[in-house]
Amino acid sequence: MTDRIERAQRGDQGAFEQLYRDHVDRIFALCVRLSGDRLKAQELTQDAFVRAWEQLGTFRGDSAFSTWLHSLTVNVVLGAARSEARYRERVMSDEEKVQTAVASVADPGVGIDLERAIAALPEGARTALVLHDIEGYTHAEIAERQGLSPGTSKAQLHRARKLLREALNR
Amino acid sequence: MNCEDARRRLDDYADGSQPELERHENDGHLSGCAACREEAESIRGLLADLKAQPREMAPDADMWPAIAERTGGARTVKVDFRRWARSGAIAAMAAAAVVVIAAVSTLVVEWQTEQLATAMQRREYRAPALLVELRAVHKSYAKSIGQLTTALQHRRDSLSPETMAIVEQNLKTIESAIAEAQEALAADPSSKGLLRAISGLYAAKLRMLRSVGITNG
Repeated sequence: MTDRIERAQRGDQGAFEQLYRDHVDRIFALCVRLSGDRLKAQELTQDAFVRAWEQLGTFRGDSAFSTWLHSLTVNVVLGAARSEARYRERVMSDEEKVQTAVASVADPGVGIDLERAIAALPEGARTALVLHDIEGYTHAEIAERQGLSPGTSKAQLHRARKLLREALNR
Repeated sequence: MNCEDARRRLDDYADGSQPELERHENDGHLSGCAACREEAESIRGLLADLKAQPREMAPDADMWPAIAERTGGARTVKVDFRRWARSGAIAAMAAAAVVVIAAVSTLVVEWQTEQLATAMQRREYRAPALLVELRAVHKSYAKSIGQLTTALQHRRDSLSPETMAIVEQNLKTIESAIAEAQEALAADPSSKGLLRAISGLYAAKLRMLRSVGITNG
């Protein structure tokens, strides 16, 4: 374990700031792709680093710090998505749900690049695609984090790839 | 193999996760079917583009100020006994408060562990080994925390109110994390990962107390 991490674990916020600066670009990219929304990704990135600060004591050096932080971030993002889904079900009217879904999809009339196409995917499909095809998770790992079966993860991935190819006219 | 079978397997074929026997079957079909071959190439092209996406993105703004505010601005504790010598009354009050905090923390740890143990038993948890391990973790750390509390008594003149404020804040943060982890363990009693996390948090609590410049015994 590096000296910087140990100092951060003892409460040295200067050391933690250095860890933040070392890893923020990677974590932000992960949050952007999983959430499909840059503004939301800013909040999620903050949430991830705050959670990392709170749970630094649990990092024992069994894996690389970047791996630990990455895994923690995935949990933060997926947790936020579940909370948001519950809120939508409980609070939003049907009309609001439709309006939100429409607003979150990129305008297909505009030339669509890959990142925008990923952002426009339905949430479950986007999660499977980002974690499997970009971040290298296995279906078993994706399924465990989401409380799904590996078969469902595979189905979501298949759907994501199909939608992406259609959006990109391939 | 027909096109329908081949296309059902094309995702695994294209990303190389297909078992070898199935891959050979797909190879055979694709060698004679231009449409399926084109489909496979389309998936492979997409996967190559996805893998080529940059792993990093610069945020639109520096988020550190907001994160620093939310994490409470805890600082490294440095003990300089000469600089921080205080009057006996103030140092005694400060040290007494820290002792009370440490003692209450020990009691909170004991209470939390027993609450968790009760919750686990109530759920008819059938992994007594993990419960025994949890009690052993608690027992080993409770002893050290108790020893540090005693050691603190002998060093009370060395501590300033600033130091105490930092110790209190850090203890609060760690206790909150322990409570959260124990709650999660009560919901998922088979998780050895959570047990390791709780053990790690106790260790962090000890390191924090030791960073004030006191040692066991």
